[in-house]
Amino acid sequence: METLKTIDINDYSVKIEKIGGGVYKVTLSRGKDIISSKYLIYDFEGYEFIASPSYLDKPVLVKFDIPVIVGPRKEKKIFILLPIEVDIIAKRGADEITIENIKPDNLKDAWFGELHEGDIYYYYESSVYGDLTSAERKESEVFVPVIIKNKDREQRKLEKLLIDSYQLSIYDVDGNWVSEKVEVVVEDNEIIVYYSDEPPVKGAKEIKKGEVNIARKGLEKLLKRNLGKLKTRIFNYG
Amino acid sequence: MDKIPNISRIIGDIKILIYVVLIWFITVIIIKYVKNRVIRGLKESHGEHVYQLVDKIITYSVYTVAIILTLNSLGVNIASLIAALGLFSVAVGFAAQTSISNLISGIFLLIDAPFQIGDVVDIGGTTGVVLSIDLLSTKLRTFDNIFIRIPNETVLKSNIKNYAKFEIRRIEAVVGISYDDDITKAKEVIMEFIKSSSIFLAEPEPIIMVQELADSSVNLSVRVWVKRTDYLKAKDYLVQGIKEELDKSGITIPYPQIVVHQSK
Repeated sequence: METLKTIDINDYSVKIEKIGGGVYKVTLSRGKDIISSKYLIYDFEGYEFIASPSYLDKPVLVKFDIPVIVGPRKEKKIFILLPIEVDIIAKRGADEITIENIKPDNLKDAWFGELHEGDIYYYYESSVYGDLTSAERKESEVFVPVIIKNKDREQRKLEKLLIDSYQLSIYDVDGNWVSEKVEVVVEDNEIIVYYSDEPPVKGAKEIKKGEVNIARKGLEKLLKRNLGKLKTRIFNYG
Repeated sequence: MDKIPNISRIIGDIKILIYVVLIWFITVIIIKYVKNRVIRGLKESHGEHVYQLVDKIITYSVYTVAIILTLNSLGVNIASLIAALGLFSVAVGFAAQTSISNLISGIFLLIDAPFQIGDVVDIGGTTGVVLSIDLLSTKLRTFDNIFIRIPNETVLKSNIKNYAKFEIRRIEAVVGISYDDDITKAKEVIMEFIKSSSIFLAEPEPIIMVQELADSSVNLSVRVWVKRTDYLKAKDYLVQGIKEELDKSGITIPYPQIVVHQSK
């Protein structure tokens, strides 16, 4: 039995072994505990095995460790962390086969809205970073660049943000997974989140396309006109 | 010679027969059309119970008209029949006061819509899952699998608790700790346990507060929010978890004690 690759994601480890005769063994373990072990019969000759970001099934309510204060008519750029799932895929050119999936640990749910009217989202506590160099991320997280624009005449305090992660495109920036820019506009007691579809850094390699971006681009092509920025209303600021 | 009247009578009877068949054929078509096209959308827009009720009202109404038309075509005097029915209905009305009251209550329930089929409700102390909301009564299935029929008038007059109305529910557990124990530490231990458990919602935030300085213990009130569907499981998990975590931390949950002083 030949070990082709071992990929470590947080505390998890995925080992891909070639048994022979077109049979491969994929073992997911955590420390000494084997969580799952499966055999695949497929010709993986010429494939490389890589970790790829994958979206959670619900939006995430990200709570900042410290509130972000933005002065009147000012803007601030921060980076926050967003949990994601990680797919282990076998890739050869455009051909991709998902062979394992790792979900982030200890994801909690949170209610957002009024007690009688709202919805359940994932809840995640994130530190707020001024730049990427000062930040560390786990393998099951992506950095989200957030630009907060306060168009009001009063100072605003942002404590949490609801992000539809599946709307975000994800890029590889020097080995880090970084999403497209998210713009938060505070105006007239309302907060609107724009998913910009702009890479965090010019020329960054896109490794995952946001689902809404795909739909938006499709529509743009179909209608032959620019639909402008897709906007999603969100909420809560202090 | 007398064959001709017989033939014309037979033709007349056949005409009546065709007429009656036609009436019932159209009746069935109307009912099917109304069910499929007109009120089908009610199920999604207003729920199963509204659909069922409107369905029954329309079905019975169409059948009533069909019966009247059939009787009319068979030569029954409808005017005198209706007059007789009027008298009969007065008599029945007196006898059926309760049913009519239930019927009207059913209509009010339909308008008020305090619950829907499938909701878990408590109606005047009876708790169960709503099976149906009919014209005269509401049917429940209790959690020990007993069928309960409650007249709609009773439902309308009772206090109704609908446990399925909102998506999240709060659980409260009261925990007594010893007067000798550190309250702050106890709060921290419980909060740590709650935060590490994914069954409890992160928001609305859990609250732990001193509720009472009781006879034998300092009572802490622990309030957490959970998804409605997790309620029972979470309640069990919360109470057991608090006990285990406090035990691990050396915090005691006292039981009522009486100190007896014996005179020398």
